[in-house]
Amino acid sequence: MSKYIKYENIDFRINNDIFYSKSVQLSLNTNISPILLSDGSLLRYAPENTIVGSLDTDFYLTGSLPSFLEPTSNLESSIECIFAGVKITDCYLKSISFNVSNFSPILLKANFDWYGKLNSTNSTTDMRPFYSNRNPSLSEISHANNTYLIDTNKVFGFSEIFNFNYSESVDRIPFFANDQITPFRVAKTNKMKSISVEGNFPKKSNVLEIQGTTTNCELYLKDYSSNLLKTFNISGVIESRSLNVTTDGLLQSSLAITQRLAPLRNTL
Amino acid sequence: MSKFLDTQFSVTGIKNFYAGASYDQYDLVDFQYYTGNAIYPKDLSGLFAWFNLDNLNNLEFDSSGKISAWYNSAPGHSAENLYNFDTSDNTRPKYSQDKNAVVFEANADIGTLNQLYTHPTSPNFSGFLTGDRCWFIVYEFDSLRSGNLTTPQGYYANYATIINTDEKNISTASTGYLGVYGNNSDNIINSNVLAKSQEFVMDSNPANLYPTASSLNSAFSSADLLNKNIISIVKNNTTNNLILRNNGQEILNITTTNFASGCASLRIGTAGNFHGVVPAGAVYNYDASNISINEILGYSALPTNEQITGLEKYLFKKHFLNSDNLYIAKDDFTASSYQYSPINLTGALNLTKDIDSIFNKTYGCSASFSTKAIKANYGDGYYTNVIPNINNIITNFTLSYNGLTDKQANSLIGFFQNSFEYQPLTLTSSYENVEMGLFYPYKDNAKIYFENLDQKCVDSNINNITINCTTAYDSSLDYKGYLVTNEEVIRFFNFARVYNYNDVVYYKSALSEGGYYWFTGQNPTLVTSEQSPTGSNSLFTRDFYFKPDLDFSIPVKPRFLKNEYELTSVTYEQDGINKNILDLSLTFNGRSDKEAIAILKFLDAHCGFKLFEFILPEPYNKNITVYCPEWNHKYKFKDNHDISVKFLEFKGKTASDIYFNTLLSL
Repeated sequence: MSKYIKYENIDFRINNDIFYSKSVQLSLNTNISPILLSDGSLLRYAPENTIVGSLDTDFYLTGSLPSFLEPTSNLESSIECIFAGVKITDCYLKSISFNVSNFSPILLKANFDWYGKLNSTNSTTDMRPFYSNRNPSLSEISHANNTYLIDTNKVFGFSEIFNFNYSESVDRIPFFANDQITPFRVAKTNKMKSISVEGNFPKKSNVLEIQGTTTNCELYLKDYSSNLLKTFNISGVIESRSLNVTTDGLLQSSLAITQRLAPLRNTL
Repeated sequence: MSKFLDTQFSVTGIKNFYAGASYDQYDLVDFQYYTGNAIYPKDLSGLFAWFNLDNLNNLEFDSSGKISAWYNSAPGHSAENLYNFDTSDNTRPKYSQDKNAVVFEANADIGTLNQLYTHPTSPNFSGFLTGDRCWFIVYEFDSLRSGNLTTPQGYYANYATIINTDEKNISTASTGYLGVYGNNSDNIINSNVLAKSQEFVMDSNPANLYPTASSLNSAFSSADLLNKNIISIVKNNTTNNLILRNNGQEILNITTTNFASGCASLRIGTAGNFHGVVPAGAVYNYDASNISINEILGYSALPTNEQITGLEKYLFKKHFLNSDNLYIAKDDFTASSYQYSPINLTGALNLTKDIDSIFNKTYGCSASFSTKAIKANYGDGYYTNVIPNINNIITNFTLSYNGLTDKQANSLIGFFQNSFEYQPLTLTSSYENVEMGLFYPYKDNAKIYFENLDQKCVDSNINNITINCTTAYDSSLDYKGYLVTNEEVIRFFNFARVYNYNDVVYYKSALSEGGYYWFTGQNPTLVTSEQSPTGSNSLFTRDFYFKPDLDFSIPVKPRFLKNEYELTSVTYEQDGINKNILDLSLTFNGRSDKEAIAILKFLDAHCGFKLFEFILPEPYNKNITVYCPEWNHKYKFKDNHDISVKFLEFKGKTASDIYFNTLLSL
């Protein structure tokens, strides 16, 4: 007897918005340790911490970047992700990143921690018509065509930028009330922005200070039709540079900029 | 301006409570019963009735300890007192030292109806009470029960008297009457008002309540009448304007002839209502609820608003100890009226002193126990433990509050520092403890004293706070134990119950076999007589059967004498018998809730000095007698506890050292 492909309702939604995702990966890890007794026997595997899940996805951005996908914002609350009939209500964004290179669509990568339980439904019987509030015509996606980066302080030294990679990340610290396994707060700490840029030969002599070279960049993320999706600002320091060439490549250099965000406590 | 000295706090931002102000969640709010000065009752003219319990000489007790008279402290009115002439003693109230109140009991079923009243002939207040008047009463109802006296109609609220000043000094509700209809009590729920809000009634005829209640019966209390309350009745005898206030909130402002000229007597207690047959179809009952009265003030005057709040503040400061204190806002709110004060029902939803309701204790909470026992050595390894007092265990708890925002940390630190300002309820302490929950498996209603607080900043807006505290008033003399008294570990042994590994039972017996036992059967078992705690093949034990962690170490330090004489070699000499007295520390990490509570109950039940048997692990494998003078417990994660113990070996055990029955059965 033949088996047929079963079509699954696997649209990926974050806070009920559909994102045009290329991949979604869910994983789970327990935090357990074996307890050995004085007579040599194994008593149990004791839970040292809760089960922490990881959710990784990459997607093409259509429409503006929603605030709940800004890792370094002050927003700490959880977001809900749904994929293939699996609903996770306690997802916490850890990082978002993307690479911009010539003539390429821009794929954003997002990484979440999640806690608690999965709510699962039968995705083959819960088929829903495709609908999204975001760019329902599917006409535009994030693209390098009109996306650009401005070196405000003109410290790069490049005359051409080949590509750049932007990322924002935070560490998330979960806090649990006694008797609970889902956190009441997942705080953000170590808020970082970084960008690495590859370009041609840097026409500068004093290329790096010992404490880094201060720089300000503005990154305009746009779709193919030049609709602005998000402006990113990074005010950090250049912490590394390199120059390299290969036999089958170009002479090119790269630099990496990092910014440690330090919001004033009274603004939080 | 806050009443607190700024120097007693390390945090800023304490806000004053006042009607009209807005508050954010976790704000520290200083509540005072109005910011003006309190007025001493004698400082306001027109005082004709002042029944207080400042001095027990204000009460006259009969031979059975019941109250036969409550003397008036108002200057010039010493002959106008409250009496009960019922020498049969059935209707006289009692005095409660705990409440410092006159307690009036009522039970229509058995005919218990307590009351006090002005003299039926002379003198009473009738000679001078023809004009304006006001009454201030501090009281609380013990219950506001409903009744089904109108069978077969069903349950209806009861009338319960607060005060009756009727001109004829009769026992039925009349024109000078204020009571409670109890219209939000058990079985009778009014969803239009907050739970615990009860309906005040002044109508002399309860049949007028429904179907169209008059304005006399329209006011619901702003506070829970089962707690202590202040009621103020202010009557202008010219305009007939009557104002009714409850805990500082005006709840009624009407024109009425009630509390008018002629209402010149005073009857308090539970017999102010008629207890006759209720007419068929009536939607009320006459089974008054118990009431305790702390103080009554009566004036033949119409005080100003400032004087009213001044008198109320006097009563509040006197009877609401620690209610004018620092509160924490539970959410964002605007105190649009005095109903939002924390002593009223609405305010209690927004302001609290219960930190358990707004802060999460987090994993990492720990407890340490040690005995005050004094070790008396007899030589040859023999010793005994002398217990210096009945509560011999020193307990210290470390409560973890991790992941607090700056605002939350500010609030918790302020609450902590303010706890040292609570007025004492007893003569033995100079400030009052904090009642709060501990953590599993300890008491959730412990009375603790904060000792110190450690705040650590993890990052911007992320704070970890640990508070060290002690429980001062727990005793191990109760059979339930010292601090591990959860229902699951104090149950009596029962043949009808299926027992699981690590279950704890209390075996009732007047003999030394009585006490706590631990079930060691590997499978769930409905035990037989033979398997019972005292059975021949018992599956229960009183020995310490829990196995420590594998990575243990036991130091063996034999006792001997080492003499080093000058210019000669060292000599070693024996030091009597019992040379090897073990002093060992063991850990029990990663234990489940079930095993942890069983271990902690075992240690709790042995009070830091009682002896028990323990089999040393390999390579020793010997059964020894020990006691546990110190132990520590950390709640590491859900279903994960770390426990460490110190065992001292004991030589020369006798049966009487082990068992001491603390269960008293009457």
